[in-house]
Amino acid sequence: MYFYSTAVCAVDLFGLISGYLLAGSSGKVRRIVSLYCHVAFYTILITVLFAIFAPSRVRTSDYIWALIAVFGSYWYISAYVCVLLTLPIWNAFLRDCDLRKNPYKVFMCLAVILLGVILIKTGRDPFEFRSGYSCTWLVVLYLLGGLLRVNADIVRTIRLRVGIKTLLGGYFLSALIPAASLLFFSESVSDFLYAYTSPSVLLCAVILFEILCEVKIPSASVNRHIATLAPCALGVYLIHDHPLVRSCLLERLSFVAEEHVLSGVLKVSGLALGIFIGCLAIDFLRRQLFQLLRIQALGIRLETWSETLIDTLMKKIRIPGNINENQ
Amino acid sequence: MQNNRGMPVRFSGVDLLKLLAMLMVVILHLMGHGGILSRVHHAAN
Repeated sequence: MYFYSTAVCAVDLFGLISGYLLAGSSGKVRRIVSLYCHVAFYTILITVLFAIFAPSRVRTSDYIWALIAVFGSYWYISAYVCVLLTLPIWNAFLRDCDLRKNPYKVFMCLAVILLGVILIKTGRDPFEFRSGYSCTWLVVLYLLGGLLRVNADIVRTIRLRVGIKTLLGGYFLSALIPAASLLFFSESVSDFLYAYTSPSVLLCAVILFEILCEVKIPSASVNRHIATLAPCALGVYLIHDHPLVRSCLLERLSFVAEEHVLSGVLKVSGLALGIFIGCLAIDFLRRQLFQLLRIQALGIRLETWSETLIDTLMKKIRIPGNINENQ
Repeated sequence: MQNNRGMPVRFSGVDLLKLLAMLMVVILHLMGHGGILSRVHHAAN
């Protein structure tokens, strides 16, 4: 279970990464179009493949969800699209979240998040975090990632002062808390500590993020390979977590549950690595196909078209751009 | 975000983190959190 504990923070890590990379950017339609095409490619392809080779598994509603793509098939994508649609609000909030200029705002933000996380233990969930499977929780992670970005120089100073070894120790120790709770506490406590919203899981994610976010890789070729493969990471999620694929995996890999602990961990690690590399290779090919089809250009065209449409609409309903225009 | 020469800035550490986090997500889905093993145990119970 300790091995499992070290991996639970992965979903929180993605939320932090989104905040760190997108803080300061404008909400662009092309990003949503590109995401839709990416998700729809897999939802449609997987549904069609299952319809051909395992028709009994496919229901009529699966075709509809395959077309809707970004909503319904994957909880993370549905939540992420909501974050993308509301991006300008969160980025406007983050704009003056510099700890030196506005410490009150930063501390209030952190206090509200902490309060929400702790209150879950009372059995109520006032902020509707739903154990982390919600848009609200993704917004929290986005804001935390954004805060780390806006205050990057302060965080860097702290990181250098604390040192990588201490951070690594903190990561493994934080991961130990949920695992230890299984031995010493009730099931409700361990459920609380294993959720994405758990303080120890969140701490694990922040520490791992800080250890790796500014890592400099000396080899230029390794850097190039990482840069090529990183955009394919989402594809791994889209393939292996598709409801049809997942239910199929559930049946095929059930033998792992009967294994001894050590061999089970080794088999799970091997299987995970195999699935990861296989899906990464598939998504690499998908990327090449998208480049050939110029999907990115389609996103830009749709963005220009939607902006023109909104401008025309604003003129039609005569909403003044400036208050002075009325006077 | 762009650098001084107008090229998009790449965060190689963050790219590495993305790949590592996704590998962790696959492990997570194999071991629990609504994943294969938890579902198998649930079905067995």
